[in-house]
Amino acid sequence: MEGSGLIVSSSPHQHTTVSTPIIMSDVILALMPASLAGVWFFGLPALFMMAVCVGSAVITEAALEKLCGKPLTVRDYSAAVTGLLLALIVPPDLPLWAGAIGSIFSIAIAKFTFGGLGQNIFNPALIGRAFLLASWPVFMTRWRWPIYEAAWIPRFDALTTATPLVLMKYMKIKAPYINLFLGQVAGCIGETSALAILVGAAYLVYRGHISLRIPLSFVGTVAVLTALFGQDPVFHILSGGLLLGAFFMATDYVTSPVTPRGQIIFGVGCGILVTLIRLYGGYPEGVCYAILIMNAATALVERYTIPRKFGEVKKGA
Amino acid sequence: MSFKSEFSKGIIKENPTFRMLLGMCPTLATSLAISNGIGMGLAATFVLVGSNVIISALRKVTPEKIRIPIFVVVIATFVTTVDLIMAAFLPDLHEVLGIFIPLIVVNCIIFARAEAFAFQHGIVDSLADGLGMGLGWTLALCGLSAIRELLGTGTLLAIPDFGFPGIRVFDQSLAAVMVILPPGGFITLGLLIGLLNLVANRKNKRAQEG
Amino acid sequence: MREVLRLGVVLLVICAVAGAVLAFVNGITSDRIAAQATIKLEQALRDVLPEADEFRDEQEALQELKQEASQEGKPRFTITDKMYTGYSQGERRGFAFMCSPSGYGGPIETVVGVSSDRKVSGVSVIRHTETPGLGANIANREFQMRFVGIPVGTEVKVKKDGGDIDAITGATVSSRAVANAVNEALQVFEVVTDKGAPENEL
Repeated sequence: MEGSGLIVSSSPHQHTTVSTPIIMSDVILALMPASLAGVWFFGLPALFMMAVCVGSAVITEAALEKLCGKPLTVRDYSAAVTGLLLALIVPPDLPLWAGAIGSIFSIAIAKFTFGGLGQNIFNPALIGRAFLLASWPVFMTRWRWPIYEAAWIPRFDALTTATPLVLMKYMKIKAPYINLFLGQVAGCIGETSALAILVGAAYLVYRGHISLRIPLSFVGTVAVLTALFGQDPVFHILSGGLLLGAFFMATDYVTSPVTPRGQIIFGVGCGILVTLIRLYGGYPEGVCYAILIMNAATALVERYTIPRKFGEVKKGA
Repeated sequence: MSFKSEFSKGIIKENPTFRMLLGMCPTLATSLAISNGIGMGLAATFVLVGSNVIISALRKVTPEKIRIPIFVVVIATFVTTVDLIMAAFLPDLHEVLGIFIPLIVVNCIIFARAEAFAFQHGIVDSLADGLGMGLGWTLALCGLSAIRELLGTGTLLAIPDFGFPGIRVFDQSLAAVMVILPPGGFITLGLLIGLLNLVANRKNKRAQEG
Repeated sequence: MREVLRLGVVLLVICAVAGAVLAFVNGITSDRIAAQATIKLEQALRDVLPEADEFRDEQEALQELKQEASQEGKPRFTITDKMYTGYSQGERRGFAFMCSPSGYGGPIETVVGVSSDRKVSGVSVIRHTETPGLGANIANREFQMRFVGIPVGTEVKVKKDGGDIDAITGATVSSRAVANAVNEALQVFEVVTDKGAPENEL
């Protein structure tokens, strides 16, 4: 048989030309607007943070694979995406060494100990952020007003070294929509500009890499719930890491459900958790924990939403 | 089996924490500082040696059917003794270790050694086994505590009971707080077990090849 | 039947021996354990009120005062658990209050000393379950010193709430709890001294 060229393997027989490197490089491209906005608002330190995070993520992945004699997967860009995402969800003043440790933790603990790409339960970049927040809470909650300011955008309050969600939760001050939409507020490097994130997300949708089920159900749930609780839904959509999380992290192939119904359950679940944490939790922002908690529920959600096989008879019917 | 081999097996080859994964709960909860590790480890060693010797001595008169209640009574007696003595003479350490001293009663290491070893072996062997297992656990606790204390607070060997702040290795603001929180315990312990397995596997491989 | 009896007797003998051992250990340690608690309390009181060397428990006076202070059935001074008066050479030097405000991880047992010159003379946290590396820093002398010297009548608040106390970075909740304790201690002191304190006058 072997070498005859007439082997019929089991299905699937149709292969797509879309490979991991192509998707990942498209994701990097889609993150460029948010990254550029980060550098624009927070200056060169933001750029250094991205370089350090991407660099340490890639080096960690390569070193661990070498150490354990596994094939090198650095060229699929997935480690670079993790590093870049992590850089976008930390404050601009975070020391660079902390960014590097967070990246190493993301790759080594959240990804590699589970078996590498495709095996990890939790989104590595979010685990990196959760680790940094638990380890250096002081550095991770120190914010800064953008270096660059467009003069025509209002400077809405003197206490501008807090993020809009902090201002809202503890001081009942609401940042104007225009600041939030363009990104001229304090916040994590890549999360402030809703416009830049949406441009990137539109590209990913256009290329067919992400479906809108998770992001729309996620953001929609937050909008409905915040309105129900008497808050301004537009403010809650535009502030914090909601848009970045909904389009770039909740849609991670590995850690979110593959079934269409499951994806909607996943998005709604994230939305409920974010709203609860923001309005009633101990933290002003909850996107990171909400997605991580739903990551843990992914397997369960998939189990209950798996489509019926063709010809299968419903059990108990 | 000689006294020496019964003693030494608990330290590396059958280390209760890293090899047999016994007594994980107190290991995770108390391994915050080296002083805790030593205190907890020695307390458990005392109980382990005492209960092993008594259970071994009583094994001929202990009816099979009620051996478990008898183990419990013997172990609980030793634990209560340690608890009271510690409260009287080392109040600060007693407060830090808190509930985990009484909980030595249900520490799997002690019960496992009583059931699997002391009940079937002579007094001297049981003594050696208890000492070895106890010290093995103490060493594992100290190792884990050292890593967590260093990374999580930036100090080493701090002993709050005696007002000794410890050796400051780096500033507290740089310390990774998560390492002394519960998730840090799980992750550090997991990595240590993995590392020791890696070393052991390599050693075995080399022994087979050589 | 004989089997059951035999098992019972063996268990009885072992339990009896264990009981005897424990009774013996308890006999030699109980006094010391009781003394340890007192030593610790004395130490804490002396810490916050260094001028005094003798302390009296004013439990009854505190209860009475709490009852009088409650307005329209609304209890006041809810976090103050104990009140002590400190003496030296027969003269009263001030008050010490044991408060347990709620922190981030549970009650924070705080002792606040207020000396006779109507100022905070010392603050000490004796037991807490705050996050290590963050809220746990309330146990540091450096933080506790921030309260020393505050006069009676001041409203003690952290800066975030519009007061003067620098909170520990990243641990506003824990800092606020200690500030609440100091605040209440000062208020109790005010009430107690205004209505003529128990026994000797100031």
